[in-house]
Formats: sequence, C-alpha cells, structure tokens
Amino acid sequence: MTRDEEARVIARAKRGHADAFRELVEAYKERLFAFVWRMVRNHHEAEDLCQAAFVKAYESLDSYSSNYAFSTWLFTIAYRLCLNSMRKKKALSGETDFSHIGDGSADAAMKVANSEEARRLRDLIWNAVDRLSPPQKSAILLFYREGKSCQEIGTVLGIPAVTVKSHLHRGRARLRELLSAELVEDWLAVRHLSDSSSA
Amino acid sequence: MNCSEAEQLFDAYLDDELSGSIRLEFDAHRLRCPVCQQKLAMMEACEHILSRDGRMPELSDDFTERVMGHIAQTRTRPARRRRRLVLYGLQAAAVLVFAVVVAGFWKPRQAPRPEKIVAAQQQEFLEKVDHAIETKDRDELLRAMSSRADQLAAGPANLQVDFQRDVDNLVRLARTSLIDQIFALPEAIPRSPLEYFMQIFSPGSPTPAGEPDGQPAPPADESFSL
Repeated sequence: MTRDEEARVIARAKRGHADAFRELVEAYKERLFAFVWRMVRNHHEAEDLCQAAFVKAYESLDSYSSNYAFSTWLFTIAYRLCLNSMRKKKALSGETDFSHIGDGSADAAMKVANSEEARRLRDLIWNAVDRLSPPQKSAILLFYREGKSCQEIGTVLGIPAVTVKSHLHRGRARLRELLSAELVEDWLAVRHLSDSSSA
Repeated sequence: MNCSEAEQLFDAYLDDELSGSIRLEFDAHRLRCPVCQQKLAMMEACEHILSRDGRMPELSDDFTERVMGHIAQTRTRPARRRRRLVLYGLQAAAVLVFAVVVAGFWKPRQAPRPEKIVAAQQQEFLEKVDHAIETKDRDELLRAMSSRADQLAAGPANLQVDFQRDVDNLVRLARTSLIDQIFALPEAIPRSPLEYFMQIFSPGSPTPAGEPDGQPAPPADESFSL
C-alpha cells in the first residue's frame, strides 16, 4: 500500500467504514505481531496484545494525525500495551517461547539456520536482546527490524530522539557485554551467515 | 588510537557516521587489532540477525476476523464523541423546532413518565437516527425527529432548552460531513437558521436549496400543523 492509498483507506476508516480498517489490519498485523512477540516472548499474549492494539487504534482513529506514519502511531499503541502487560507480570523473563516456530521453511535463511552453529548464535543473540531493558529492547527492535528513524522511535516510545540514540548506544554496549562472555570461536567467520541466508 | 578510544566509535562506525580523519584512524586501528575486529564482527552479526531473522510463531488464521469482531461490538456502542454530538444536536433541534412552532398550543399532555420509559424512548430515538445517518435516509431522519418532538412535548415539563445554543449547535453540526450529505445545506443560509429548519419540517415544504433533484418533500406530519 502506498502512502497515498493508505491515507485514503484511513480516511474511509475514520468515516466508519469497517472494511477500510480491515485493510489496515491486514497490512500491519504481521509486522506488529513480530514486534510485540519479540517484546513479550509469548505467542498467545502477543496475539492478544496485537488484537487490543488494533481495537484501540480503531477507537482512537479520530485522534490520528497524518503528521505521523500510521505504523508509528500503531506501534506506539502496541508499545504501551506491551509495557502495561510487562509491568503486570512484574518481571522480564529470559525464557523464550519458540514452541510454535516451525522448521524447514523454504526461505534461504532457514537453510542456513539448519546449521548448528548458526542456530546457536541466533539463540545467543536473541537471548541477549531479551535481557535488555524495555526501552533499549524496543529501540533496538524498531531500529533494526522496522527501520524506523530515531525521531519515529522517539514518537513510539514517548521520548526525545536524543534519548533514543542513548538507548541504542547503551543497548548495543549491553549486547557486547553479554555476548562477549559467550564462547564464539570466531565472530568474523559467522558475521556473514545471515548475509548468505537473507536472499 | 587505542582499543578504548576505538570502542567509543563503534556505534558511529556501525551507523556509517564516521568520516574524515577520524574514519581513517579508526580503520587503521580496526585493520590491525584482532580484538576490535572480533567485537565489531559480533555487533555486525547481531545487526544481521536482528534485522533479518524472520522466525516467529504463526499468527492465527482468524486473527483479522477476531479483531473485526471486537470492532463490530465497539461500533454498537455510541463510542464516537462526534456521533453523540450529532445525535444530541438533532434531539435538541427536535425539541426546539416543535416548541417554537406550536408554542401557543403546547402544554403537557400527561404527568412526567417513569424514568425507564423516558430512557427507552431516548435510546430508540438515538438508534433510529443512527440508522438514518448510516443509510443516509433523510425521510427516516425526519420521521425520527418528528416522533421524538412528540415524545418530548408529552414528557417532563422541566426540560431546559437553550434555544439559541441549540440552533447554533444544529447549524454547526449540520455542516459536518454526516448531516450535510442528508440535508445538503447551502454554504450560506439565506434566512435565519430557525426559519430554515422550520421550513424543512413543515408539511409540503419544497426541497431545500442544494439537494439533488428528484428528492421528495418531507411527508406531511400532523405534529407540525398550525
């Protein structure tokens, strides 16, 4: 969906056309779920939070301003719901729910993922990301997975862009600290594993 | 440049923000320092994984349907403030017009009704107007307002109506995209708003200016006969 098409769909949704909002759900559900799942690390909870985010977005559509990208606004809602959920749980667990992840995708990344070392590294990295604070983790995910700018991330997190930069810096430093303790024979050799797998 | 100084520049290097002599110094250190090479490679591996690892659980097939189901439940409630304002304005207008047109003949026909009946009548009126706006049915809207005016006239005598405020409200609301599709108000109302709307509600009134041709006049209604 182009930006103009999206603007038209949003305008129709604001006028109460539910089918227009359905288009928005279809356009963003995968990305939103990917972000939320990485935040809360539980499949069912992530689906519930995504659902709540979309419903909240629909109810608040009148307050949406085209000054922001719709994805930024939607992720803002989802982020706050994630924070509320995590606060209720009171503790961030390092446990990772991979129970519903399938194997053997035709995707090139999966071919490489079948190698034991690549799988181990991937788990190491995601486990380290899970140990970051929520703002650092969110900044890292939105920066690398969603390709959002510091300004946009600041909008989602409700903080200035300069603070986002700080979170990214500290998040990376923390990742270096956590991963340095891991036994990896040669990071240079594995650095481009995902390069070859990302076709 | 030593390792400590180089590490402070890792972020800038990864974000491609290093340039000039600093970049040259950094590259010179990086090329000869295996420790920094390993750390940078580790960060690059992280970035690749973070940006490209698409593994995650499958979203349920019925996810969209569940979202839309919740939204459908939301829509049955009068959740939109704008819609409430519109409905309030229409209700106030019904009271206003009826009271002015039949002012000389209006009097309470019966004692105040129990709260339940009043609330049920109001809810019924709101649902009818809501449906009329949804379907852009002008005739249904006028019938609902006429019927509501009757009910209010027969209702509690202590209704407080600020006539001028409600007229202003109605004119303002009538210019919204919801109502002006029904009444197609002209940009400048030539007569006073009250006269304009009295004309709409009077039996056998001509089609207001700006409406498409072929629209039937509002049905005659005894409530408005003088």
